[in-house]
Amino acid sequence: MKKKTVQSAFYISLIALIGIWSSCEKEEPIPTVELTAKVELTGVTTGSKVDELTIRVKSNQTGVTKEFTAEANGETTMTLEEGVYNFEATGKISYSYTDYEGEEQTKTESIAGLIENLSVSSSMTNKTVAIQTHITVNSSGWVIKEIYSASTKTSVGNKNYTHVQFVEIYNNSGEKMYADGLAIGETQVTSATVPNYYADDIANYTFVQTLYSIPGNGTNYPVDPGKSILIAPYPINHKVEFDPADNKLLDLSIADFQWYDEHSLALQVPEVPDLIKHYSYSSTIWILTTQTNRGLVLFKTDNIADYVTNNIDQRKNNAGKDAIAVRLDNAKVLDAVYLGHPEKIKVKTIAPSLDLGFTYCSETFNGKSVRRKVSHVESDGRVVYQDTNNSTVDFIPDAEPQPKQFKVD
Amino acid sequence: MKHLYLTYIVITIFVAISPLFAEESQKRSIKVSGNITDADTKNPLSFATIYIHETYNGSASDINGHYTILCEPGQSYRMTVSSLGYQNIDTLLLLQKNTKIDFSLHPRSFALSEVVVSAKENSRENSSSLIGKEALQHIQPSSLADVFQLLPGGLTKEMAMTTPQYMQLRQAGSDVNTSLGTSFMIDGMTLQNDAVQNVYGETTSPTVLYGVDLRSVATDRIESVEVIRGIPSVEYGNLTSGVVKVALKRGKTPLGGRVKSDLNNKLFAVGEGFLLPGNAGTLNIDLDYMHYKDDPRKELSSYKRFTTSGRYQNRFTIGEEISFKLDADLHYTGSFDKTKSDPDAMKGKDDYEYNDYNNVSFSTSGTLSMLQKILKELHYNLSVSYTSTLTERKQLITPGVMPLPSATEEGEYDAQYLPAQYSSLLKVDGKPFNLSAKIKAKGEATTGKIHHHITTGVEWQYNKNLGKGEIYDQQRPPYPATKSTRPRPYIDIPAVKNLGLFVEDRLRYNFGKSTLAATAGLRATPFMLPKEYALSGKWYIEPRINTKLDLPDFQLYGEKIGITLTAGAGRHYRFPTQAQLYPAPLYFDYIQLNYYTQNPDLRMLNVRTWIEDPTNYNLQPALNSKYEAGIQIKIGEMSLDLTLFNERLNNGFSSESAFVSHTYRKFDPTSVDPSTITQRPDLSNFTFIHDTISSLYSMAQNNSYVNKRGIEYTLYLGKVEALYTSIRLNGAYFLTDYKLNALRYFKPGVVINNRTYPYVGVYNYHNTENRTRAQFNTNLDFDTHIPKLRMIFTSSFQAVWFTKTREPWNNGLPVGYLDDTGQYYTFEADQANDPVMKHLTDTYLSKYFDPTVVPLAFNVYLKMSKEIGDFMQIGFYVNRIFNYQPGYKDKYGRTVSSQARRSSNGYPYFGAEISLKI
Repeated sequence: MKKKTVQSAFYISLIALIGIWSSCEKEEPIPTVELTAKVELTGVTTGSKVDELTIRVKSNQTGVTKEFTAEANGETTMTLEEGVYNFEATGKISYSYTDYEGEEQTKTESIAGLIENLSVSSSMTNKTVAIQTHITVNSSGWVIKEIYSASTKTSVGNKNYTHVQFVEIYNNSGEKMYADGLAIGETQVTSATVPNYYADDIANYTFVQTLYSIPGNGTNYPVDPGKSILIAPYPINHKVEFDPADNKLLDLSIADFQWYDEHSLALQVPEVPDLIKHYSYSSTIWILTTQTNRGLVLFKTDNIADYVTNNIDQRKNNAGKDAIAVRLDNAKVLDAVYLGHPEKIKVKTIAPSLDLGFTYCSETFNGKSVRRKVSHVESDGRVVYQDTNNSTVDFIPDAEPQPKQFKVD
Repeated sequence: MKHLYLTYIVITIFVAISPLFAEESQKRSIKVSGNITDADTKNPLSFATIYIHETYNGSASDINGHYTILCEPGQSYRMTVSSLGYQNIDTLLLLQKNTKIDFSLHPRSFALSEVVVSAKENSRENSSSLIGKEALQHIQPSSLADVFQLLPGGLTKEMAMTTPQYMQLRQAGSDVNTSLGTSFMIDGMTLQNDAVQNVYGETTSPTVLYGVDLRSVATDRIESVEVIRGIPSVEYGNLTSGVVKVALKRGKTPLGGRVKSDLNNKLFAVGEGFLLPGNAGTLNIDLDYMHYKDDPRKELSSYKRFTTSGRYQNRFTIGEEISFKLDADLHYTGSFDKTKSDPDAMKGKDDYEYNDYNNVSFSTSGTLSMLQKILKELHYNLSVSYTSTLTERKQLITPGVMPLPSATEEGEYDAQYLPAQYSSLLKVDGKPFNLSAKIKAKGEATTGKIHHHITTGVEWQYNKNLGKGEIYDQQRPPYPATKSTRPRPYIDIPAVKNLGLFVEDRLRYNFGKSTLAATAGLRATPFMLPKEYALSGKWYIEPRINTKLDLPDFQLYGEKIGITLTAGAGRHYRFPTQAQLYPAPLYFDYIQLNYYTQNPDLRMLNVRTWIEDPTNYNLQPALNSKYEAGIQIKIGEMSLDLTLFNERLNNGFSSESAFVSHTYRKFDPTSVDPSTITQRPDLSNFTFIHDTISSLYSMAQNNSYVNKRGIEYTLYLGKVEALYTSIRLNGAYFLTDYKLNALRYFKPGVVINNRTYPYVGVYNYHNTENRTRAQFNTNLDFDTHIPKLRMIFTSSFQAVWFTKTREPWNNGLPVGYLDDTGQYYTFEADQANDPVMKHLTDTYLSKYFDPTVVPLAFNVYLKMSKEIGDFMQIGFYVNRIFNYQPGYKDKYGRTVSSQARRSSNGYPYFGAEISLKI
């Protein structure tokens, strides 16, 4: 019997060993990728300083988020396993700008950027992940995208040609909005009116000398996200009608609305609906201030005709004479742009809460406009404009007029 | 009927004066005669003038220098003998029998002891200033405008010659009625511009016109200027403010010239007076050229003037008692700025502007003098003046596309859109033409102890514009945005005619050692207008009187003291000009349909035009009533002249708004959708509403009121012999009220909720038009005349002690308002808070009605004239070599700095000139 026990023990241990052996699976090691994540800033002025830059990397498979802090140069290195991740960057940016009094001011804003579903693998050619960040937009709605008021000189005859002026309003949100009832107007005083006899009231009100509004019952004029409303006094193709060889003349026949003044100097283009002229200081035509030293506001209220009649303000101006303007409640101002030439600004005509800074065209009739900067482009291609309520930072002075074009420069 | 009236008057005059041809019942029995010669060369002086102050009679020497005058025995007469280029001789005659007196005159020069370089108060009864040749030369003038700085109240300043210079007289500030109401005469020829329709190429607005542009009168040929500031003789009419009489040089003179240069001006003048062979008289020929530039760097702001003149004079004697003096003059003035083009206004390659001005005038006068008859003198003057002004302007117009209303008749019509750019050619052809004729007769009579010197006469003036007016292609107008008139040939406008009849007695009454002299006269003018005018044919009578009382001299503390008192009153009418009487019709164009589709073939424009006649058929002449009183005190060598005056101008010419209401059909462009049509629609396809709109337009009126009050003073302190310096002081205090006595209309240019403002405010005050101004100044002049050095040096210290301006208070509210149909409503005070009615109120801070007082401005001016050798005289002047103008606080408490004051009145300015005599 002795020989039989040893044999079965051997076979049992052999089976046990095989059993143990096979259960200890040897795991394959998962490849990792070393990459640099870099935060890139768009649409912010130079001389800015970023702070508290955090990059969160979330794995789409595991849902685990890892946080990294970027260095001062915006970069950080990380080692990630191959997979699909979302990269999100957040932080703070401090920048300085010159205010209307010529003083240096600093502002801090939040920035954010996101790259979704980025595939990380060893075969990546570019081991740097650039995360485009932008200042978080705090207005989600209508913004004034461009104002072309400086106008241009014609090539032939070098004449002042103000007929190419326009104002463009953009749907900066992600939803369809209706343009019915939007009103535009220019401030009564210029940036050079010293003292500004409305100064005590501008914290709560803006005083305008013109106010024109888009008609409609509320749903007549829909505007998709990423689209705009172009308003011009002469919505014709100026180049074709005036001088085909002059490239400074624009084709404004694409305008959506016309501000039309009944006067022998004006043209009524029936294809383009007219704005309602609620108030104007002039019984002739309204020409935007070519010196770019008045503010332009975008305003909306219910029953605007009655609002105008009930809010006519009369006070003494600096020459001791009566000045009349329409008083707009700042709470109903959707957007405002303060225009003033840097060397000539003496007063603020728009509340700082509406616009902290200013923008301008350096010369009259130089063929340039003021245009809002692009903050970023959404994944579906929709352009989002920057709006921190600070025109010094948000606008490009002396820009090329681009009606109905949303180029990322 | 009118002609019958006229004929009756002319016949009456002739009948009345015919006995004057009879011999005088009481002949002046003493004959004074002799020869007048040049003291240096001993040559006879032809046509030298002899003037007797007491009889107001003048005479002249014949070609050989021989003269004859008559006077009464035992009477004392003051006599002045003068000749061009020579020093006057004043003498006193008291004779018993026929006497021969020869006069020897010295040529004028600074080597002589008596030189007058200031304005003298004339010895006549009214206040007038006489500016002689030396005074004229000393101020180194560029044009007649420079001369008025010598009058009391006048300030030395440079004339900016790129804008027209208009006359100001006895006032703080200026106004159009004074400029229009001053009559300018050059040797009997009145400068008239009543038929001028365009200035600088634009047809003037159909309302108030200014008077003569003083820049156009060159000064080198002027012998003397008399400015009548007070009440002129009735011989001068169609004026309200004063008369400027220019006497030109006549007689033999050597060849002489002047070259003047200052910061802005270059002037060159040359002239000579010839004695024609064979006793054929004298002929003076001269020419002058001036070029003025505002800014030496800018080509385009400049003024160039070229003038030339030929003046013939002769004198025929028939026996010793009858002589006939004949003058005949031909003048030319031109400005030839052919290539004036503003680089900023015209950028088209072919653009140019061309301004041409040419004036030719001819004048002749004759005087028949009869020493022994009751009728002493028969005089005529005939002048004709023709001006051609042509402006041509080619300009690239780039309005950007806009509507062009172009109808010349009332009604609705389809119109065109202008192309976005086009070249326009504008020609303005103005040719004012005037004619004037004057006849007058002078006689003498004595009633008891009073000597009468009677003048009567008739004067006729005719003004018409022979030009074609504005000429341009109606489809390509030069000013598309402002088109309220259409071209109207000037030659179609009726002429303006004036007729004046006058009679005047200048009398002298000696009682004891005093003398009372008075000039009393009457002028009558019928208003020569077509029947449609309310005042057509109405007669306007202008009585005027000036008196002067010379009290006997008396002695006080060893000094001889003489006192003279003067007083005067008069009425003066100024009749309206052609532009005021016959304004152009106004066109009101209302765009009924403005359908500028993006498809050019479908475009449509429909316009409704209304025509209004802005003629004021009730237009009256302006009336100025003047009152003045003065005193002149002579103490030894010193003299003080003080004149107080009060002048009231009523019915002065003004331009004011008139209200008109028009209807039109307002078509709705959105009622025809352009995408539904393929060809131009018909007007009937559009819906419309009837709309009424109100407008204001300008009309000539008589609502200006000007009240001038003040004191003029001239003090001559005599000569400090040791310093060769004479001291004089002059100045004035002027208080002037300007007012517009009419309602003011104002339509706010605002649009509220798609509607142009529906009301026109009616106010009973005029801000900025109504104001009171005051000015008080003193000029202290030191004239240093050193005969040995043949030099005169004047230092002038001029202080304007203050100028004050004040507007009368108003409450800023209208008295009423008119709606679009012309319905009038009274304005209630509580309406001022209504948001729509607020636009009619125009209140001011109460400080606005406080007077603005500008304090002392003090300046020092230096002038020097020196003769060098026998042939040359040089002049040099510096204005404002020293200037003190302190800063002050204005009525709002804001500080006006000394720097700001000084820069607005200019920095030092200087010039120099050389005159040559060959």
